[in-house]
Amino acid sequence: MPLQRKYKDWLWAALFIAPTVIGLYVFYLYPMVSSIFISLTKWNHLTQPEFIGFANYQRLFSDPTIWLEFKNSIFFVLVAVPITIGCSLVLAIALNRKSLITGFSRTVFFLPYVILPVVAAQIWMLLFNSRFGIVNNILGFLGLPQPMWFTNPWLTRFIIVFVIIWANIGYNGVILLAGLQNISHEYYEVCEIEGASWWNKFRYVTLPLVTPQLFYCLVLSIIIVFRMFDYIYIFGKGSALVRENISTMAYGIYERGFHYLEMGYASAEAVILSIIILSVTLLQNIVQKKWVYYE
Amino acid sequence: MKYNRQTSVLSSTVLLVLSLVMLFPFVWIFFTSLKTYPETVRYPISFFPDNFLNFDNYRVLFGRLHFLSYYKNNIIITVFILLPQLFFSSLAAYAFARINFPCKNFIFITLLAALMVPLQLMLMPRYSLILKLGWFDSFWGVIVPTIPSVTTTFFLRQQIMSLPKSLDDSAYMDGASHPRVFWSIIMPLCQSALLATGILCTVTAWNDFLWPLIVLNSTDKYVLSIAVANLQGQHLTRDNQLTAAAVIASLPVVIAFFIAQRHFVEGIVRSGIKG
Repeated sequence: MPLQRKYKDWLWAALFIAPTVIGLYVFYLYPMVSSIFISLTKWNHLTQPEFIGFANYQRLFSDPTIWLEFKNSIFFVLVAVPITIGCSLVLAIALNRKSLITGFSRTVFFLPYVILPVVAAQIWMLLFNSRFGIVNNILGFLGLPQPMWFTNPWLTRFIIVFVIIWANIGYNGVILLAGLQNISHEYYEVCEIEGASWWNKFRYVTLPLVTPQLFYCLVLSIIIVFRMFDYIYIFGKGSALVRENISTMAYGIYERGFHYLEMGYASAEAVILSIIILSVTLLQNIVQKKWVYYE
Repeated sequence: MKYNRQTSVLSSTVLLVLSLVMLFPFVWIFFTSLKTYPETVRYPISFFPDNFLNFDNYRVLFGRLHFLSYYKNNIIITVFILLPQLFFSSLAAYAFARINFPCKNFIFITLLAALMVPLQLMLMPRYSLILKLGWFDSFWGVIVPTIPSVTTTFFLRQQIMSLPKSLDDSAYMDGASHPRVFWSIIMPLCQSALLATGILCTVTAWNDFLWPLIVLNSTDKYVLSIAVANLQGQHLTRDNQLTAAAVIASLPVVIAFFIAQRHFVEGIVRSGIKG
């Protein structure tokens, strides 16, 4: 009887997990492994793939376009992620009270995260339009210079950084806020008794106790920025010159694979990007032992 | 005490001002969508439209630009991703949380890999798979690969694991089978978790861009994100129409967010802390 029960359990488990697990194996894991093989071939999707060994990788490391994409990806991660998380922490601290204004602010700060990334990028393209955009009109009103935002690669990159921050501050803020709300009041009461300054309270109580959430935000934000595709697509749509300057690896893979039909070369770049993301995530998991504080 | 009050007023004011700055683009876009083309290229630029009831841009969008059919496509795709994803993920979540079976941990760990790697790595083989299946330029190609979800499964597994095991044990004693326990005991207790993860899933499916962009080819099958992206930079479309499209495309998710904000935030926080 118990043995029969066990096999019955197995049967149900197999039936229950089958749709999800088969789906994930077919549409996620098989393509992942397959990509590694495709990256060793020359393939334009019209003819049979031709095995060329590591030639794609050799070409990759000497290709100035890919080098620029790599630098852009790193730039966006290094600049946008710390600012986003810093701002989110300040926001979370400001929101850590119950009042009408904090409720309203929480909603408003979250809103950009919900809308389509494509739309978010377009909104800011209009606002930064050099002639009829509100930003330049305000700058003009204040007597400041009105730059052509989308002709200078650095200005365009900073606008993208700005949009990343605008779109993700609410999401990270909500996670950090949950962390702040978990901190026991007793710690702060002790601080009051000891007469600790505002800064010491933040430095020695708030910050260490919110590190698990900070760690999660950091891991996730880095992955999100490395994967960022929609913003680059929209900001680069108007001009090839801008596109070249802001293109990231995540965008380059799409362009190489589906515009130039260099599937093998694009797969090689995808493998490299995945290795970068995986090693950064792994590294963070190792380093977290040094700074993340679990109660 | 008095000092605290002052800082509180100060921080509330700063918060309010920053909130208005965050909100400003939305208001600006909405007002621009009510402007005529000459109004958008006029100096000095104006914040308010001349006529608040000028819905011409929306009329063009739904008329000449076929936004009604993009809307329909988006709704079909989102619904047919959402419902199967919730159902299949909760089935798998139940099995992972409550049943012992061989290779359980191994399967679970392989699924984790799917979570870490960017979509870009799967793009090319997935695309040729879709071609082989004959799903290129069809909704099947967008929907089916998006249904299985690691995040939703993990989220619901956590939820089921947090329920007391004594609940289902007593049901087994009475002779109930796994499907019965799953459907009559576990699922009713997962309602709020299903709502939370369902809203996240809806927004993700509604906003998705890269995968539909690769699968869908003919204009009448486009989803909103592609339609909006295509409007940009065309000589036939003006900025005021573009903003109307932006409003139209984001309105459902914004409304969904306002209605279910609590569940939305709960979903994010819980997947954040436990994931």
